[in-house]
Amino acid sequence: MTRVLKLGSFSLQTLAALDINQSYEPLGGEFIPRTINGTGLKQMTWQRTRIVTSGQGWIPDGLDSIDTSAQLVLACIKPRAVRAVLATRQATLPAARRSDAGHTPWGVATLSDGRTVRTTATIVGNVATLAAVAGVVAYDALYLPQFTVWAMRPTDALTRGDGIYRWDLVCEEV
Amino acid sequence: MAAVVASFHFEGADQGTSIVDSSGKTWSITGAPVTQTQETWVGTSSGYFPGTGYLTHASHPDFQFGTGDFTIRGLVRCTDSTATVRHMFGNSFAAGGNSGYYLYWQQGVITFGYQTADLVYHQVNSAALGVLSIYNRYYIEITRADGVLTMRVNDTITASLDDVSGNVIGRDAPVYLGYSTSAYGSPFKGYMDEFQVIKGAAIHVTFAAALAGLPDSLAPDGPIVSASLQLTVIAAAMASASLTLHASIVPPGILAGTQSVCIGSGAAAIWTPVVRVAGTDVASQTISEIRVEAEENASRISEIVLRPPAGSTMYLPEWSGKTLTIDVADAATGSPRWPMRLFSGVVDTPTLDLASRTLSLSATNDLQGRCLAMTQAALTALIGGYYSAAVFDAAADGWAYAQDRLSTRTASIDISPQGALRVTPWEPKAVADIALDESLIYDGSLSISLSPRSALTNAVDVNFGYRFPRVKAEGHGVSFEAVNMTNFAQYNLESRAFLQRAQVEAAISAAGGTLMDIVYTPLPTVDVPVGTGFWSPGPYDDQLCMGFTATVSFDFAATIEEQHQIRVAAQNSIDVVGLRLEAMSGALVGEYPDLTAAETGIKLYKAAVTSIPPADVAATVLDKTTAAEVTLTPETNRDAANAAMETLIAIAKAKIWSSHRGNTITLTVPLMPAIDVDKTVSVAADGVTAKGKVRRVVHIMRPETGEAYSEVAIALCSVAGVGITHDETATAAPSGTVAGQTDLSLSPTVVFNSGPTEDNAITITFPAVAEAERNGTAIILPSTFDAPLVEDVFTVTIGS
Repeated sequence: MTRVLKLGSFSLQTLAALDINQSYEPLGGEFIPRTINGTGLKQMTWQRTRIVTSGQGWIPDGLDSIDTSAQLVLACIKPRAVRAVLATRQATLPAARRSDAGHTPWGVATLSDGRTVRTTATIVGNVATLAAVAGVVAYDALYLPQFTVWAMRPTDALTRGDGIYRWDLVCEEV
Repeated sequence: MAAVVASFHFEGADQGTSIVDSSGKTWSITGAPVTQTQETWVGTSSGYFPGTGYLTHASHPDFQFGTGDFTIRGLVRCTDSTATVRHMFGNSFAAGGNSGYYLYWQQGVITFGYQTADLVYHQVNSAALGVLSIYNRYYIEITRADGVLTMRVNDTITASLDDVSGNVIGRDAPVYLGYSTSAYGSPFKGYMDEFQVIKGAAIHVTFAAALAGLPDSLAPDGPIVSASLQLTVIAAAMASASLTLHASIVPPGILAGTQSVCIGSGAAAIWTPVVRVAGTDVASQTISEIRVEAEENASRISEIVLRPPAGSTMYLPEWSGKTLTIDVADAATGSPRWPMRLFSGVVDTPTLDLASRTLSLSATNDLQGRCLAMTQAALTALIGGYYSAAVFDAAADGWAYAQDRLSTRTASIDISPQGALRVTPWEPKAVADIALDESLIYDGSLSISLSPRSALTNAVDVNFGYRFPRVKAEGHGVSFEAVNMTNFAQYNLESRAFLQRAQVEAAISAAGGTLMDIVYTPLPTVDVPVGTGFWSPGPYDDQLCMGFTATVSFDFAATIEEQHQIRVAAQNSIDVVGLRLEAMSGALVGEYPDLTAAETGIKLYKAAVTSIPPADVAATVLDKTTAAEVTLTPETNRDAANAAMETLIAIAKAKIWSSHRGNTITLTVPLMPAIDVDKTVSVAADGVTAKGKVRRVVHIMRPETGEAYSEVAIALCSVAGVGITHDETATAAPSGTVAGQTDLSLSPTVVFNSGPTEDNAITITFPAVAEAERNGTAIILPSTFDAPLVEDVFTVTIGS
């Protein structure tokens, strides 16, 4: 099933996002001063995420209908992974994740020969338990993040020559 | 009460089978775990588990942590690289949600976990460090503190869960060292040392501390169970006042400055500012940099910028005077903890930028205002030092009064981050509060600036003039013989007049003297042959005399002027840089009632005209001019003059020391809230070795970039080098003149016109009071005082 990007109550149509790119950029204080003897002393403060999404399709995106003055929930389409404990095949997932149909967590098992196979995940609370696979060296629980964001006003463009509608959307976690 | 409930040091013989729990518990041994000496980490031996043996203890409440804090820690090296789960410690874990816990190693990943009744596993592991080696030893530390479960491996936090508050950990079942009865695992295979379990406390120690050996009991610096705090309240002159007490638990190392929430220990430091305006947390509105500046003898100031929520209504003038507090806290657990106060004060200037919709707040702790509100008595108790109304303005207000007193001390005043007024000596402490070295000082930030010779003062000439009155008395002896028994007959034949006693006394009085005593030579009381007849005594002979001997006093007031020429100097400094001289001066005039009236009062009293003694009178001593001190007003008497000179000497000493501590080392370190202007800091970096008092510190926090640092300026007193002692002469007023005696050099003369055709008048002439006795020239009184200096450690070694 094709993953659908959602922002608040707005769902991006598949035809408007035939090609879609999404990236997560960490925001927040992260600094490494160097001392006289070269020691790096890392300092960190808060951390948030900037989500940059761009895409193109055959129809206009419709993102300009979004109320960018309000905080919105961005349901992402780029998955993230959490390594599971091999013995228990369990991983604790962040609470802020998609749970809508077709977008629930799943697992990936890595075999000893490097191949990966998809496996199912059973969710209890925030703990994902992956179905066992033989010959596994590692299990990863994958999920689709969800962020409460401020959305910047989107940009869009049309290339008449190829009839492609392009758009860009930048959101920052509140 | 928190306690170490199991402690294994694995001390014993090589291949020894006796494994002792220093907490006193007796464990049963299954299989062949042993002590061995081939691989030792702490002490003379470590433990070895072959993979088939373990220790067991029956169910015990000590291992049932409930919902409270606990610590499981130890040094381990697992020698199994396979997928086999090797249990290190367990509480009979079995799936079923019974809260039994497990600690195991599997393929280079260490996991601690338990299962709650809802069958949810709560686990922390070391996966963040990747695959751990079977050839290395690791210090594992699992703690639960305030509901947060954390795993550390070699000081690095590898995982934490903050949703475990309220979860019961531990079940009523046996515990195992080297096993867990889990269906998933096997007994431990590998080495172990210093393995401990602590119930009731989350104790974090470093890897290095673990290698030094872990204590069998919680030291006094363990968790504070209860504490009492004695408060001293200094009343402030305010119509109404309220007291708000804030308390926070902060690890001793952070308080002392050996640690900082902005300096990670093996892991990144995760910090957050805590900013409150009028008690309300405004962290969510604070943007840009937060800055706090503290300096000797100055108010602490701070600047923050807020972006109020859109649509909020504000009345700008009411922001002035709102309290502002700024803390820096650890944020590793997601919530601020261990807050350290950087600033307490009030908003001084709010500035609204309509374009950017930001509100800039400049705040101060108002050092001047605090002193202004204090009484002189309170400031005196706080600052001490010397004071003289002859040197300073007696009408000075609180801040000026404080500065006056401070000018006599080698110390500075400021208000602490918590809002307490304090005075800190310039002399650094023998042991530095905080040591900074190359592992803390930012590269390129260390710099030295030296005080120029022109800024030094190593000698101060203090000229102090003291003018005051004394009373004096000249004691003249007057003797006169008009006739004696040898020439009595001839005297009568010549028809000369006899002296009248009243005449004598009148002549003395007319000369201005006061008759103290007089002895008359009486006329004969028998007939005396004179020529062919006799002179016979008469009825009025008792009014006459042949001569007299009298003591006469002349009393007058004199003005004394002392010129104290006091040199305060640091000779060792003069020897190094030459003389750098300053001058100061002062004067005091002794106040006394009308001197002329005083002279008259003395005269009348000595003449017994009045029986009311004058306030001050000089004794009349024959042939001497005798002086006596007079009772001056308390503000102008000798004590006041001495106080003025001592104050000036103290000011001179402080001035000399102040000029010699103009050398400065500046550096930047990660923000250390313990660094403040009351601290002594030592520096050992880049060839610089120094120890001095902090003169200025600026704490800067930039949450947006993660930077938090402190710019520090350290004052150094240095001129002749460490080891040189600059002696001090105790501050005491030099001696003044004393009321003494001088010899009278001239004598009075008596002329008696006794001839039959003369007027029979007697004239007694006393020498005039010398002008030098009335108003002498200034008396020069030189004195010297050694000014102290304490040379701070300050050496620079130029590297290759």
